[in-house]
Amino acid sequence: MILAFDTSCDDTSVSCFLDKTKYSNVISSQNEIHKKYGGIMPEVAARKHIENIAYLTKEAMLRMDAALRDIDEIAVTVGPGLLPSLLVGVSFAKGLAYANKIPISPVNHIEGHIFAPFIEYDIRFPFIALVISGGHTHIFLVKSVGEYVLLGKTLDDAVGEAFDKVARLLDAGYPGGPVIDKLSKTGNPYRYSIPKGMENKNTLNFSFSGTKTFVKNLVNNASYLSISDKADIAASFQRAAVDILWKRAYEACLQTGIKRLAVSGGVSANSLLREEFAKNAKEYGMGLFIPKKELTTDNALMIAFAASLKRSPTFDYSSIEANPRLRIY
Amino acid sequence: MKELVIDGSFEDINLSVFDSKELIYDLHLHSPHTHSKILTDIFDYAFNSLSIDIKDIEKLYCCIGPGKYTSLRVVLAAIKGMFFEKLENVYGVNSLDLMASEEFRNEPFRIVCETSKTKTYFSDYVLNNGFVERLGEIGSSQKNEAVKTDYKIIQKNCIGSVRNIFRLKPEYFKRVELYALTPVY
Repeated sequence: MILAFDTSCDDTSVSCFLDKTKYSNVISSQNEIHKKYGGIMPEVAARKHIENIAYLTKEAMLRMDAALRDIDEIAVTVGPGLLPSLLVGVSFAKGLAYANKIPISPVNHIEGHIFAPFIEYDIRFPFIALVISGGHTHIFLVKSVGEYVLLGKTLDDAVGEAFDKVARLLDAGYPGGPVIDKLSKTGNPYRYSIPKGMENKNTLNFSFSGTKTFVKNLVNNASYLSISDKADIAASFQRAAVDILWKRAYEACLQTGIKRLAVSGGVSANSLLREEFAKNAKEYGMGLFIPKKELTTDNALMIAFAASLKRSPTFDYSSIEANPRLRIY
Repeated sequence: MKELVIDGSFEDINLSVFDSKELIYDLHLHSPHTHSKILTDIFDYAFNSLSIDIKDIEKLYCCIGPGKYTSLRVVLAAIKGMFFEKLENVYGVNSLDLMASEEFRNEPFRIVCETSKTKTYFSDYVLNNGFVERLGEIGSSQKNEAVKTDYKIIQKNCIGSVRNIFRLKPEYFKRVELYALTPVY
């Protein structure tokens, strides 16, 4: 059984993983705490991690009726992420592993997202992975476990960050993903022609700063915005973001000749994205793999699962270090 | 009975082990920004040197700050992991008290510790019947306020050693649930 930890950003998560059907996945969200700041405060996030981590570990083990003697491996996110947050998970995991003589696996958080869809689906290698969240917007060609080719990435804001910023501009709440999703349901997605960063360029990269600036100017130039206006802006922005994400992911599939697309990360919970991607994938005869909503956001189950695929645990505890800028490519 | 004292509240790590209140191991290591990397090695080295196992530790005293936020969290997170489901006798100790335990003067003195640009902690102490005793509550203020006293001022920005911990009055050791061990910010 693998006991896994993810404290890369604002959610504290612990998972006990035996196989794809037997696992626990406990997540303590800090959304309510960071709401008042309109974004994640790293110091506040780290303080909550240290408060929560032991209790969540106990809970994750209780749900699997597991004791420490049942744990064969410990897995922990070592990066990328917020350093103060990463350090809590890494230090706790190392202490637990050392004291109980359990080997430990360092896991890249992005690798966790890449393999999150595997928990529900059997995906054949190679495949294209679109990882979209508040911190990441990447397209990878995944050749095998540990073999990744970066095909595209954002040149500025991550797409989830753009959702947060637009939500803040519209005074709609936090986190941006769910509130924009909800607000968009009553809006007209074609009222505003929101730019889709680098849409006509021959690239697989993204840019969301222009999109955000357009919305900022729209809001600043309006003397008054009704609820309906805000809904239209949200829907137009969401439509633009989903369009460009699909366009790039599809281009990546075309360029590589691979028709299997895995989408993960918090933004993959967006309802328009799930609908549009499913419709388009069907139209173009592609295999689409998006995890269920609770596995789209940061969670330790995906870290446990990635560790189970990598099979590289070590007893060299001092080699396990947090690295906020860790790469996989 | 083996008791472990650990501090990593600033840029140093202090670790002492006592057997029936007698010091049997003492380590002081300057390790700026590397607590997370070296902590398991330090414990391993200490336990191997003493030929003991983690399960031999019956009481744990852990410095909970104030100090450097990240350093404190790294040590407390590691301690929570190491002693998870292993130990109930856990005590939090204030870093100013540990600083005072290093002083051997007879006249009252004030420990002043600047933990950030905006926050300075201070507390007054005196030696009483062999114990280091606080003369009031631990306070915090701007630095210019913290140094307003007639007592001898001892400014510190780290803990040099935890080997004198039992010079402190026992009521300064605050029993805490391991899971709930959190830093003083």
